[in-house]
Parts: sequence; C-alpha cells; structure tokens
Amino acid sequence: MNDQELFEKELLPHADALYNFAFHLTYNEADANDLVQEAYLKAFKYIHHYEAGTNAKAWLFRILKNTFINDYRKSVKQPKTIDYQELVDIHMEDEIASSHQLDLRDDIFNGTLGDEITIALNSLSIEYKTVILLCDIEGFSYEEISKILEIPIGTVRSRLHRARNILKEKLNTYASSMGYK
Amino acid sequence: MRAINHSCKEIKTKIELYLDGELDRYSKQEVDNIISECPFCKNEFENQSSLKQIIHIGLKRKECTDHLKMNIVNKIRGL
Repeated sequence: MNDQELFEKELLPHADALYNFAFHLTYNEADANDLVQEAYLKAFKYIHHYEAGTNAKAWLFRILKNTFINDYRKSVKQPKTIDYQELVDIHMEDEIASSHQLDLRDDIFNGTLGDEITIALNSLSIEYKTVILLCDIEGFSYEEISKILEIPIGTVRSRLHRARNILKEKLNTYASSMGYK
Repeated sequence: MRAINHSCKEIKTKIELYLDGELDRYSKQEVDNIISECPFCKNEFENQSSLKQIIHIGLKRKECTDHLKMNIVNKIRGL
C-alpha cells in the first residue's frame, strides 16, 4: 500500500469526527474547514510516522489539536484562559451539583434539549470543552486523551470532573427555568 | 448541606471512572454492589449517568462535507 492509499484507507474515514471536533473548537464552519484540511495535509506530510493499523483516530486528533494551538489559535484568536469564575473551590461545586436532580433525558429524546447542550458546551473554556468532546463524544480513553492533549492522566480526570460539574450546573439552571425541581 | 460519609465520597469518584470505562472488573463489581445497597450512591450513579448520556446524545454533531473531503483527497493526490 502506498502513502496515498494508506491515507485514504485509514485516515480519511475519520474526517467526520475530526470535523466535529474542529467545529466545536472554533465554532465556525470556515475555520473548521481550514483546520481539518491543514491537519490532514500535515498528517500526510508525516505519514511515515504513522504505523498502519494503529490508532489512526487518536493520531489525527493529536495533529489537529496541535494545529489548532500552534497555528490557528495563535494567529486568529487570542488565547482563552480558564474563566476566573470557574476556579471556585471544587468541593463547593460538588455540593451544588449534588444538591440537584438532573434528569432531562425525556427532553433529549423528544429533541428539545440539543441546543441547550451545545450552548452549554460551547460556553466552557477550551481546556474543559476539549476533554468533554474527546471523552463523552468521541469515546477516547483517559490514556488516549492524555496522549492527544499531551497532559498527565490525572489532569484529564480533574478537567473532566470540573467540566461536568460546570455543565451540570448550567443544565440545572435550564431545568429550573423549564419548571423542573 | 448534605453529609457525605467517606465511603460514599470514594464511590462518587469511582462512579465517574466506571461510566468512563476506566475501572477494572473488580472495581466495577464493587461499585455495582454498593449502588445496589446505598440509595445515595445509586442516586449519584443515576445523575452522573444521565449527564453523560445527555451530553452524548444532545450535542449537535457537525459532519465534514463531501466537498471538503474531495478537496483534501485532490490536494494529497496533487502532491
């Protein structure tokens, strides 16, 4: 199999997942197009580093993440830091999150909650949004996420925990506004 | 403020790992046993499970257009 065949057989099938990731990082279709295209061109350039049959998806996600951080984010956007409001004491977050029931599954299944999820996710800082996308949307393991983001597994865990607490709180606010208790 | 005893707090952390597929078989069994007996842990399990499901199902996914895929393939073939 030559490089082009390997590219089309093992890398290209992940285009939808990569695009979804890119879109939620940039929240802009044109930027997501550029980011996915750039990531794929880089992947092809370095395809000799890729071993056929290994974890192509995780490898591509890592390239896209690096492309986003090194090229897109530096040149197009100001780096976004974690919002001060989110740096509240983790125990307080846990208490608040535990004090509410969260059962909005009916709303999900009848299609009325999708916008709220998307809005809540996109309001997260990039560090938190990224781990949620990789874990809950793409189903990567902590170890894979650790490699994609180049951060320790303990940091993956703590970011996921905090991100979920924030999402829970945002969705609880929505639930209350809809008359849930 | 709800009092959480040590055991429940520990299980709460494990539930997150459980739902993320990060626990071994032995630890999963431990969580299964506890949530079948402790109403607080069961409630916690249901809440965490619900949130994960809601995020997974609720987020609007975007797909790569065929046009973009063709552009990428054409660029690679032209290299």
